[in-house]
Amino acid sequence: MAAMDGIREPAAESGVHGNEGAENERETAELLDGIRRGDPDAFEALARQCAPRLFRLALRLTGRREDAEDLVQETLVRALPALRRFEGRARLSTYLVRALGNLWKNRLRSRSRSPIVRWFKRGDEGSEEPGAALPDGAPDPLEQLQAQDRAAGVRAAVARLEPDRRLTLLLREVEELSYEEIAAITAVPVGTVRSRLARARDDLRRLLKTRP
Amino acid sequence: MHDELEQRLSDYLDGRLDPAERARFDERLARDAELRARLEEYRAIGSALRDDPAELPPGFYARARERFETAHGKQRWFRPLSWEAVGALAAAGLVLALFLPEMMRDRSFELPLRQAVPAKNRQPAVAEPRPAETPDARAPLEQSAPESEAGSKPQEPRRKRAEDEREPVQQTPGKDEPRQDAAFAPAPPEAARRERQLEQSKPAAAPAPEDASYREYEESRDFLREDVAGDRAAAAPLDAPVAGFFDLDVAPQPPLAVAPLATGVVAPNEVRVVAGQTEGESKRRLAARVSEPDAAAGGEDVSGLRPDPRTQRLVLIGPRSYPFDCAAIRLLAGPTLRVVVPPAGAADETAPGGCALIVLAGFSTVEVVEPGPE
Repeated sequence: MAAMDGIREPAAESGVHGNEGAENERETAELLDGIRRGDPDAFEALARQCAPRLFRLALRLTGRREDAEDLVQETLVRALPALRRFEGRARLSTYLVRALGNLWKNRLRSRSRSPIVRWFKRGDEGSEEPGAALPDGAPDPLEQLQAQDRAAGVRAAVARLEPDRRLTLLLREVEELSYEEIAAITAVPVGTVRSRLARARDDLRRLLKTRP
Repeated sequence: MHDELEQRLSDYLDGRLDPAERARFDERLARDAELRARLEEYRAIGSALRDDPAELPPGFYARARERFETAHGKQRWFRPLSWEAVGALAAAGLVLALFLPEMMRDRSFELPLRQAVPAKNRQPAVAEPRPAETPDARAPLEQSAPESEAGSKPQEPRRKRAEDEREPVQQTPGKDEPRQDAAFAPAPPEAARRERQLEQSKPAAAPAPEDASYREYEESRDFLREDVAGDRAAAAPLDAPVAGFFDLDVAPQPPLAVAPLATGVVAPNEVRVVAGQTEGESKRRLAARVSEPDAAAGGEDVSGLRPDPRTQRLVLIGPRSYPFDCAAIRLLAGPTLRVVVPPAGAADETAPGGCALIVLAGFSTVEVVEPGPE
């Protein structure tokens, strides 16, 4: 399982032995106990392990640093205390990625039916709205993109992908998860993961082609 | 490119083809320059996604910690008790264990306690005549019992009061001399007596507990208070929709103040709640402060919204059964949010439920106005 930098295969990361891996597991379990009791020190300690990788995923999902920070913080604040049983750091990383994905999709659902958000977002770039996957004649946000570097262009194009395809693609390309892991996280069959990936890649390539 | 070919290209990229299929696809790649170019594009896109640095913003952890403390600070109640507290509890338990059995056996404890209640403080046998409930009778209650932060607390005493009021009617007349068997009834708590005396000095306005509108009001007030505190947000399942009453995860905010709108304009960064016991009352309390007609044409009707306060900074809560129906709300473009409420005469006096307007932040001004003639 390759999900969080800090909590992925802890023994392999630093080349330590299995005992130290078990020690890390115990430490994580203790931190979670502290978080459930409301201990902010325990929360911050575990957040420092999980947040960097979650933020990388969130930034690509949302396309905006402010939204990504808000999403990661909400995920940590809500998901960590809600975890009733610790079953290892690998399970924890899967759990957090799933929580982040669910929260992000819920936000999209609530915002897409809310005119108030469209009003607030008016004039914003890098919209989080689940816009059309393909250019449809409307003004292309990519044309307004100021950053000309390749990574920024890809990020902006990813932000225009249909949400399920976006999440699936990022779990594969950024998190480097297997199809089976993605299927477990997104609660769809492996076949759906497979087709979403193919469509997401095709959509993304076509979106990037429209760049000036 | 054909969909099937796109699918196989994606499978190839992810190593999902079996060896025979992979060999055949390799052959095709060798022949098809367009397909090779497409494969390279996909690989480049994947590299760009993985290589894009994503540094956490400065101060991320401090903000996350603050958010955690705001959301879960109350759980400190469950932290282990201090040694002093444990000692005090143990001592109290010991005293109880020693004396409680003795007190239970000795029933002479009971009578002196009952008889010790002065007759003038005992429950009157006949309730005072209850004033007729008129619309005018409600206003003094609103003024004499302002809804502060603890304003929702009186709900429980109100229920007790209403029960206490019914009870004496079944007893014998005799205003100052209680019946003999009443003397053996458990002495009412001092607080309940005070509440009853206070209640008897007021016009009756609160709905009786058996009234559906009372229950609706209680529920409305309860969930409103809990939601704003973020309690249910913490307990909500992760896959629950974010929008909705039970998922309001409000950022750090000033203490909740429940008060009528003093003017037609709400200052920014201010939390206000307007609530009534019935839908009609809620409307009236909003509409009472309306001073100008809705002259602005247009605007966006946002009735029925369930905005996300994390980003939208505005919460409008109506009766549970009719969320946001308590006021026609229009959002006008620009820095001003205008809330259009029905005229006072249009209030539905029969529909149960409270109505609230909470303005967290984000607007320079919020105006509450009545609609003009359509």
